[in-house]
Parts: sequence; C-alpha cells; structure tokens
Amino acid sequence: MSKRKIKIALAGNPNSGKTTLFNAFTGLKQKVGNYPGITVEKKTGKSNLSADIDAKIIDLPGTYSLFPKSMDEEVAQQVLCNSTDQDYPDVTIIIADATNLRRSIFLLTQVIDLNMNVVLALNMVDIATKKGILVNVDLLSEALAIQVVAINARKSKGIESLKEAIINAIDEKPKQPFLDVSKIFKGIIEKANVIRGIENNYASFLALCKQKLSGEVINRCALNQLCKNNDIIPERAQAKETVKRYKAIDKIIQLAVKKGKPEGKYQFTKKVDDLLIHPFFGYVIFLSILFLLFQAVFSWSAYPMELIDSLFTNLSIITANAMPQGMLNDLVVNGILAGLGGIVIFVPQIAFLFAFIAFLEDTGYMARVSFITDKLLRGVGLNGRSIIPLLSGAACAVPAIMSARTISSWKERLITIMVTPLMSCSARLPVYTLIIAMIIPAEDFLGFNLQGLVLMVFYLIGFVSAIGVAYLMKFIIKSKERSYYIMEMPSYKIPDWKTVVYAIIEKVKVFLFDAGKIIIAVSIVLWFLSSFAPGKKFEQIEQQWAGKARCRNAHCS
Amino acid sequence: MQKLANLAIGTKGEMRSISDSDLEQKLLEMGCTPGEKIEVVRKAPFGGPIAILVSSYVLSIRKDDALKIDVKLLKDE
Repeated sequence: MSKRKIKIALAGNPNSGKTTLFNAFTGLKQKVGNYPGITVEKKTGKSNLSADIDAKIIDLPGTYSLFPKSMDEEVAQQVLCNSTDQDYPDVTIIIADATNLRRSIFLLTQVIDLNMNVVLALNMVDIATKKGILVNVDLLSEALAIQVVAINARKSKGIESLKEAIINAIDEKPKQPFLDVSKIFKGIIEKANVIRGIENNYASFLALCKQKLSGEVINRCALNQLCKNNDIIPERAQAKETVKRYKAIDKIIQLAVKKGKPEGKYQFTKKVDDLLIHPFFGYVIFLSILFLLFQAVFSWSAYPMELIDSLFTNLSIITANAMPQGMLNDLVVNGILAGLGGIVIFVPQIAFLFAFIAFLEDTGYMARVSFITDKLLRGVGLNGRSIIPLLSGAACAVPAIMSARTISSWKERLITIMVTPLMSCSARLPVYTLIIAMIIPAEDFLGFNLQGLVLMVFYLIGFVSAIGVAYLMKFIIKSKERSYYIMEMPSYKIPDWKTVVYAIIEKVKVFLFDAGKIIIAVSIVLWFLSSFAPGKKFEQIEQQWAGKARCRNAHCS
Repeated sequence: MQKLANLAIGTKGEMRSISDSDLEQKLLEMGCTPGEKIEVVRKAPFGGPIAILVSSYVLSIRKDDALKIDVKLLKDE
C-alpha cells in the first residue's frame, strides 16, 4: 500500500519558536531553497506522521498577520491564501508563544477564517506559567473550536500529540469562521466573491483591502468600484476588522487565561536592558562584543583552516602525480581542486561567525542592537534591522544578503543589499594579509604591531565605505514608500544550541552550494586565463603569489 | 491626551488613536488596539526608537511614529 502524502504549513509570529519546532519535526531532513524570483528562503522538510502518512512540511517566514509588511511576510500570506499554490497545505500548524497569546491568536483566527484546517501548537507554556500567565488549554480549544496542543519545542515535548492532532485535522470539514466578515460588511463580501470567482469570504475581504493575492488576476477595477459604491475605504475597513477581531480575541483570553503571580522574569530582562541599552555602555558593550567576536573567529578558525589547506595541498600533489601529464591534469589540479580548496577553506570562519551571530540573535541581543543603532543607521538610509546583514557580511555576503529580507522598506532593503558586499568578508583576509606582508614593514607603531593595525584599518575602510555608499544611495534611490521600524523586543533567553547548530549548517550550505558554484566556475575561467596568458615573466609572478590568492580572490571580487 | 513620544519612561497609559492610517494598521495588528494598556519602558539614546510594553510584550517604534499616537494617561494603581 502506498503512503498517503500530505502537506503541512508551519506559520506563526517571529520569536514564537517556529524554527525550533520545524527542526524538532524534520531533523536534518530539510531543504533550503528560494521562492521563485525573490530572495526569501524557502525551508521544507519531511516528517513521518504515522505508519501510513508522510508529510512535507513547509516552514513559512514568521508573520504577525495576513496583511504583510515585508517580503517574507508576503510569502507567508501568499502560500496560505492561494489554494492553487503547489505548497497550499492540507493542514496548517500555527505556533503560538503562550506568553504572547493575544497577538499570536490574531494570526491564528485569520487563518481559521480562510477555511483552512488548523491546529494550534501552544509553545512555552512553562515560561508563561513562570510569568504568571496560566493558560487553560481545554477552554482555549473549546472557544476557538480547533485542536490545541501544548508543546515544548526546545525539549521536543508534545510532538507526538501534535502529530495525532494533525492527522485528525486532515479531513476536517470547513468550520464556522471565527469572525464573520460577511456580517460586518453586509452584502459586500458576497459580491467580492463573485468578482474573484472564488468562494472564500476572508480571502475576498483581503482582496478588497488591496492585498495582492498570488495565483489569481484580481479585477482591481471591479473591487474598487464595489468599495466606492458602498462607501468603503479599504484602509478603514481593514482597521475596523482588526479592532473587531481583537475584541473577539480578548473575550477568549479572558475566558481561558488567568493571571497568577509572576516569578520576576521580566525584572531580569529589565536589569540587563539597563546596561545593554545604556547611552554610553550600550555602545561600548556592542563594540567590545564585536571585537571579541572577530578575535575569537580568527584565532579559533586558524587551526581547522591550516588542516584544510594541507589536505588540499596533499590532494593536489597526489592527483597531479596520479594523472597523466597535460592540460587535463593542469585543469583538475590548478582549476578545479584549487577552486574547491579555495571554497572549503572558508567554512571554519564562516561557521564560527554565523555561530556567534545565531547565538546573539537567539538570546534576543540583536534586537537591542537594532534598537540602539536604528537612529544612526537611519541617517545614512539604512534601518536598525540592517545591522545583522552588515555583520554577517564580515563572514560571507551571500547569506548576509539573504537576511536583509526582514527589512520592510524597499529602499532600505535595497541599500542594505548593495552595501553589504563592501564589508570585508572572510575570503578577503588572505588577500589583505598578502598585500600587507608585501608592503608594510613588520615594525611596531606606538607599541602596536603595524601590520595588525593596517589590517584593522582595512576592515574599517570596508565599514566606512559601506556607510558612505549607503549615504550616497539614500539620495540616488527615490522611493515614496515610508520606512517603518516596528519591532518586537523579545525577552532574553538562554539560546537553544540546536537552533544555533541548524543555523550554522544552513548558512554553510548556502555558502558551499550557492556561492560555491560560481566560485568554481570563476576559478576555471581564471585557470584558463592564467594558463594561456602571454609571457614567461607573468608566469613567474603567478607562481610566486597568485597560486594561493587566485581562488580566494575569485569569490570576493 | 498626550503624544506617546512625549511620555517619560515608566508612564502608563491607554491607547487612543493613531493619526496615520498605514502606521495604525501595522500597530493594530501588533495588538495596539484602542483601550489597550501600555507602559513606556525604554528609550533608545540620541532620540532613537522608544519601547513600550503592550499586551505583555515589548514593542519598539520610532520616535517620529510615536508622535502620531495619542495616549490617555493612567494613574498608578
């Protein structure tokens, strides 16, 4: 008997533990791809639900609602609203942070109203209890008329019950909407359904509110006319609906959530913030963390890099001797192997740097860094959220650019993407060291190693030029779109090592396979150019210096 | 009635209205609905964003945007 295959979408607010749950569900059976045409990562994975049901799980970008504000939120909305999408799920799991139930349920009820089969995975119930937020799961389930499963994503608790709930939900019949928009906007939603040719009240309401829904050509004219005829201003209608929805949610919260005594967790976050957001110490601490981070990255990765270097050197020698002499030998050794070595050698640095960034992000610290740098970065056309791409750019620009997707303003996102490659990525370091070794004497300057100082200056030049170019582009790129900085500051927490490890694996994969393809191709082209270059003199220089620098240089230029 | 941007840290209030419809929609869906209790918990240095406590989480917004938000002050309980 063949297994039944179903599709599951995993949606939820940012910081709700969505990625942790996804990892718990799929383990390493994950694939990271791209949504067509945009730089938003698409994560899918496989999981066994039962002996005869297999599930493909798609991890949607974190979102607060079905009214998207950024590119990645748009993706979440489009997958959920488009029943012809290849990823349209049979069951949607909404993961909610129990400490933030009111806001999490907002997205949940929107998805219920799209007529989807929904299961609520209630995460962090233990932390909520400590904070004095006591959630009655049975009452909540009854009030929402869906299955609610308490889980602990970090400890992989409740996953089996969640799987059972999903299986129960697969063949559920459509339910009553949570908030009936056709009653709020009487007679209008039905007409919008007719215009769209699709019977889905909530999706039609979204279309009426000027949301682009993918997979269908919306007759915007007819919808606008419909609004006009009924004195509906889309923005007002959307606000009205949101307020009504929250009112209905507040009733449920009153019923299912009791307030107890907090155990002082918020106090802890408050005390740490006193220091980390301090007008003086906040910046000093941030710069010190950066300094330590780079020190650690370079000293820790030195050993594995040497190992990889000698491994590839030996491999080249063995291959060169094993293969018959000639052009093919040269291509394999100096083109392909040299290129491969030039890629793999950066894995340690990239892994360490992203480990630190993932660690800082998972603790909640990066949100504070954005908070204290937004004003400064805004002055040069960037956003507080640009800080993560800029920092990641010091490791490898490819995954760094991918992380710019959370910036909602098109202009700020574009500038961030354009200037991130100006940051000195780890692959440029060997070139810097080479140049410094050649032209800067190994002397002391004011008690510091002059070569070390010049290297630091190189990094600073990268940063300063990124900021300078951003400032110029601020005037070149015209955009009427307003920029926003609306960001949750999560409570501090001890980072989950699994999340950090998975983040490293993911970033290294992006570097090896996405950037690697191009590096190999460029390395072969460079091999061709250097093999057929005229003159013996050039060859001598090439032998002396370029052999090592070439392939490394290939990927940062 | 006061503008959110002008409140001191520790001030408690109740959300009233937001005079910018784009901003309003974004804040509404984050739970800043009219009547919701808020508290100013933090301000970033040099006129940077401010952070408010709303439905048990901390939300940060720019000062310019906070100028468009009307808040009714609440006496300490």
